[in-house]
Amino acid sequence: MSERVKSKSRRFKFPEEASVIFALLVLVGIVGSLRPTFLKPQNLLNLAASYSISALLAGCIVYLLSMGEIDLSFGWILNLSAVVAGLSMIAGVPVWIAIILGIVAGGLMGAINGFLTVVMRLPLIIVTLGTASVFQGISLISNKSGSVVPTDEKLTSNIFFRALGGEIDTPVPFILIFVVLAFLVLHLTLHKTRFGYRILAIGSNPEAARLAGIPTKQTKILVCALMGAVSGIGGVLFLGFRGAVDPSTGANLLLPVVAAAIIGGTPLSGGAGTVWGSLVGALIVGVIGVGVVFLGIDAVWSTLVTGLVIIFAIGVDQVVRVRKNRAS
Amino acid sequence: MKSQSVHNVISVRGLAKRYGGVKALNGLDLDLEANKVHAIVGENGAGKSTFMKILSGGVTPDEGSIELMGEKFSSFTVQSASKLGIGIMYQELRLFQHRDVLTNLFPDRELRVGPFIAKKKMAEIAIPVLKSIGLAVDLNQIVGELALSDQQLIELARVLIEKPKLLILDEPTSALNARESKRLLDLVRLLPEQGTTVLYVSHRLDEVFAVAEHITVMRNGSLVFSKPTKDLDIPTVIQGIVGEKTATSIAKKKGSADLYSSAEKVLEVNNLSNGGQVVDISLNVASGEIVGVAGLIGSGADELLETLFGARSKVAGLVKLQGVEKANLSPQNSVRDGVALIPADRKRVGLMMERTVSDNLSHVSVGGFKQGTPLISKSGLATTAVKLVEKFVIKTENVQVRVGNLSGGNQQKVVIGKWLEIGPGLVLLDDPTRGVDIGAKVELFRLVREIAAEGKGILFRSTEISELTTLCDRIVVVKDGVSTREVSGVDDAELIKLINE
Repeated sequence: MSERVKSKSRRFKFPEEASVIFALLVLVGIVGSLRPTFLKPQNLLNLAASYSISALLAGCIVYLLSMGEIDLSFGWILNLSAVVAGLSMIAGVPVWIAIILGIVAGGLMGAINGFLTVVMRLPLIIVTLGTASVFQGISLISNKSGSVVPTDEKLTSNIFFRALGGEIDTPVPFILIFVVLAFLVLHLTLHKTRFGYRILAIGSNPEAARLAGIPTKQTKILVCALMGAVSGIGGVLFLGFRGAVDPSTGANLLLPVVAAAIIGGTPLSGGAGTVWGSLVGALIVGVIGVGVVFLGIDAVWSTLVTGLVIIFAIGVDQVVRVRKNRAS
Repeated sequence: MKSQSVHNVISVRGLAKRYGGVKALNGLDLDLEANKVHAIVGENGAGKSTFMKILSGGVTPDEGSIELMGEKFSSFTVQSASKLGIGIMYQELRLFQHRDVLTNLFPDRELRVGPFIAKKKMAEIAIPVLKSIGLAVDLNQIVGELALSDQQLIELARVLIEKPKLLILDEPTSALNARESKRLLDLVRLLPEQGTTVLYVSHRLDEVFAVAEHITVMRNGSLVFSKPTKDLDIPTVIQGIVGEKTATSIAKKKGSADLYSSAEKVLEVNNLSNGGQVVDISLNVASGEIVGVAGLIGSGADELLETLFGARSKVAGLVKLQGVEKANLSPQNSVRDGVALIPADRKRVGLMMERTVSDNLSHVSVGGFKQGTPLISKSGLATTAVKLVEKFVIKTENVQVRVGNLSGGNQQKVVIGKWLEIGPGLVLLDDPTRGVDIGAKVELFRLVREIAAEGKGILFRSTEISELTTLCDRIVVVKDGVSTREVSGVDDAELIKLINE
């Protein structure tokens, strides 16, 4: 009498990232057709490498957005972590230990964010509005508003600086390989583990998650700490990639990172998120930034264009969502 | 036999409305006389709400004609509805939670003197209306601070202020306790004398029989029958609502408490208090037993289950599960100890409405429960979900459908299913039939009995007296936060007397 219940719907569905990938290809096509040199593999790889740190952060901010939260302090966590690592190196701490110190410092800063949001029962956006300035302040005080530049030959000859700085020849920049691997881990963790399931459940309905026995507080603190640690990794990568940290490092990361996640298809409302989408989103932001330069337009235009693309992306997302809800 | 349209407040012919492939209304013919209280009953999906929406101008029918108060309409809009004096009170509150009572009573039609809002004038109109519905609140109080039942009465007052000729009430008592419901029903009964015809939509048949002079039963978008109440009885109406698939009115359990007196106790509670509404409650539940909790809204009965589950913190008292004392009650510990809570407000705290049936069914087993590997696969979740959907007969096209698209009864089965997946020993059911149609209610009751028969203990709280007397082996009466007595085998009238005395 009754049909067997199907575990899958019949219709073939494109992966949700298909539309962003298409948008990326169109953008690359437009710039490439006007300025063919843009399409040179070396150029594209360099573009990807220079946007890889903000891509990495975008992949992790997806976790927070999926949980219905947003962190405004990650740029300064990145800065302070890099300062911690850099100053430790200058003080004579072995490079690899200094790197770990930087990442741990980032994780701690994230955990503080998480702890405060749980204890004060305030949205993370409010908490990080404050902690962002605290982290920035500590960074300014500790390096006396100057740059941190590990110049010692002993330091810069370390494989870490040589690999990231591009002195070791690899067909693909080292930083890019690292970030792609990190994305694989971030994707699998969000969609294939209990931890990821809990993040999405909290983002879908926090009270229902609590009543289902999900440890919502621990999960929030863990995700914030993860965001901090990833920002710390970003800071250390930045230090290796650029060879220096200055007081403004990380100041302009908020827009490209959050934009990458949103353009990639992660809604601000929580309960859903695509890690791969944010990678594509970060590349879109990168193509816009580099593309305007290639087209001979003043670089200041890239911010305006990025803003328009964000509005376009969330507009399309909203239309699709409304249609879908109406159809079902 | 032709009805004279002059006396009919509503007269529709061949009204039809389709949503995609679903026929919400399928050629409805109906005449309703003026100055009476009419009840409209039917399962969810019978077409009641589509019909109400057409009458309020919110939905345009595909076919058919509407005649309202003697005027014929081919198309009917919200503007023409309000011009005709049609007022509608929806089940869901649409109040501005952060604004005061007076502002809420005159939404976007405040009275003015020049450019200024005339508070005094508005108050003069509002006070008699509030008085007539027996609501004593300060006009300056913020609505969000009021009890849910008062908010529902404000919603009613806001419609009554417009002095509608036709008043549509959609489940108006869903947040009211027995005493408040009675007061509201008394008020509704008087409205026809003041020239207001009432359309009363409700799942509660005892109310319908108490208030309506005429009952219309709908099923699958069509009329089943429309008759004076005096020619009908409850079984006939239930038969009409559920149709062929025999109503099998749920057999009553009679005084079966003795059966369980020697059975192993799943739950023992002594002198429980949560520092709020729960003051001093003692009770116990045996394996296989269904114990009811009866009490008015605000009596503590409504907070008791959440406190036992650990969703609210306990202040004092002893709670034993399977004979073991539990000092720290929390949702996380409850999951581990095999205690399930089916919450009263499933949309707000029970489900992830935007997520799929499959995701929701793994909410507890994957999200809350610590056993098994930390790795999950979508196909693994789906396989488990399909098994649960079949076991609990959840009607859904597949398990990747958004749970928000399911009917109320099927949503409730998803909540029950996600908890039973971890094999709990104690199930706390908090008003599980709220917003569930009669057909689904029968199924839910059967399911609850099956769960009990598997040896699980069940603590069942309901705002509907007849559910308690039908389903429970034993009923604990809670008054002012104190468990005053336990009864078994009482009838509805006796139990109503006990909780109100």
